[in-house]
Amino acid sequence: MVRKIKKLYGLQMDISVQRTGVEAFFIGILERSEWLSYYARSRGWGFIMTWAHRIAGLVLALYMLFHIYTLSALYEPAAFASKMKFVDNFIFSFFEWALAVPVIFHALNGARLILYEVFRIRNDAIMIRWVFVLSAIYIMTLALVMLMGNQEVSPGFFWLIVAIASVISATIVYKRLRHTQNGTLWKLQRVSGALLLPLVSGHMFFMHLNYRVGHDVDTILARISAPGIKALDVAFVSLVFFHAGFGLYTIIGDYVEDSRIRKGLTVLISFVLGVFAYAGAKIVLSI
Amino acid sequence: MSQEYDLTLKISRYDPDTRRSWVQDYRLEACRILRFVDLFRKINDEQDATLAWNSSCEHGQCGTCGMKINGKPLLTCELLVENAVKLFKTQSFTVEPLTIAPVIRDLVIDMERAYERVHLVKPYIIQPAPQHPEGDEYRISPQVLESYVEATRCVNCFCCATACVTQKNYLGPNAMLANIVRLMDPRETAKEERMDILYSGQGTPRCRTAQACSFVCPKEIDIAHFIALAKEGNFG
Repeated sequence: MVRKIKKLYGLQMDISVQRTGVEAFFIGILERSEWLSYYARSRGWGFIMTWAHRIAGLVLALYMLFHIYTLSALYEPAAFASKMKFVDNFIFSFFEWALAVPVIFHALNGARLILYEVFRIRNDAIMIRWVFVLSAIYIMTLALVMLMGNQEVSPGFFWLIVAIASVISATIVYKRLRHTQNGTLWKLQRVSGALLLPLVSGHMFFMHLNYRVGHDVDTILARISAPGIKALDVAFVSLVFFHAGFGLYTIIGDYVEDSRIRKGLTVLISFVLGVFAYAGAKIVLSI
Repeated sequence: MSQEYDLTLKISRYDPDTRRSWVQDYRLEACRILRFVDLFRKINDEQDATLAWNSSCEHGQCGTCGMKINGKPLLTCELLVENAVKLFKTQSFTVEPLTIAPVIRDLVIDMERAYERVHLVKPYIIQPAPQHPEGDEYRISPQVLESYVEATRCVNCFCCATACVTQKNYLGPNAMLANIVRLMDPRETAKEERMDILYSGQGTPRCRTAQACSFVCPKEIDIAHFIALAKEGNFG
């Protein structure tokens, strides 16, 4: 099995693999980076994917704090509308689109890890390719939708489909994990990831269907006043902050040996993320 | 086919008396079938007798000559010059000690410290199952043996532990493997104790499934597969 993996990675000694045109082109570009090339040869692409997953997660955790801060302006719709006018330009639209890169990469790569860890999908080199291909499809489709900016869909219908997909994926993961001896939080991290994959990718897509959905204060207020959307958004906020919190806790554990410092940092992160999660839920429930 | 290569080895040096670290360049000509341990010996003989490095069996079985060559942890007794040139596409190589334990001198690390992690998992049968009633030997079916025999090839060279994403608060891939292989071994009856070690804070929760362990393993053991079996909770 391992020989097959190394062959697919194409980086092990004595093995040279002919890649197809498109892939060879992109790998060629990536390997021009001295850093990437160094780690691809010395640790494999799985190692690079892990680091990319971690960096994307950190970016998203920081973005979530900013996102809740921005949404807090919804308490004063006029102030929110003026903020939205400020961000109504190409640069901000580009950043909104670029945010999809860490979002979809983190989501799909997380799915790859779950498939490897608990569903015994071991042809990981192929899975890594799928992460890149599906990420590219999502990002390009989102760009197209944002450029057109004229798509309409019923929020109730859209979110019902997304919620059903989330529940199904989370149930499948939960069923595989519930009888294992892994820690409860460790299992919850995987289950929350399975819930978030459709939710987050759906959220980003929905918010850019047309300009009003994500930027017009009246449209936003009308949408989040619906009880079903409120419930979904509260669940969404809670899941995101739990997932981010456990991810950060994991990273701390990987680097900090002193148990007192580790506990202190864990308390600090729990407090900060807890406050922001509460603020996010309050915005959704009280507006 | 006695192709000669002009090699440059950039070797990490460390003098424990002065606590000075530096990188020293050695240029040497070597034919394609020499191994890296042969290069170190050549340096000792022809250029610098003070260069310290470690090896024992030089047949890839003792795990003492593990080093990082151009960042990749591997056994230097198994690495031919020709393969190294092909793999790294260069004739210039950095040579560093493994990072799993403190350096004693130059390329020699404190293996006693490295082995502390392995000792934590009790790398022996804690509580042997009773012998087979019809004979002295304990019988293992070929199907059961097949499921874990690959993992028994581990020589504890610590290449996987050096390559691993998680460097702190973790038993490390080879110690995890030492535990898992005995969990899968039907001769071991202390399964609960082994499970406690496996799922402890230093066990499976610290593995990030980066699979660098499988990628670098000189014995070609798919270590990540065995650790994933533990996460899946199904060793069958």
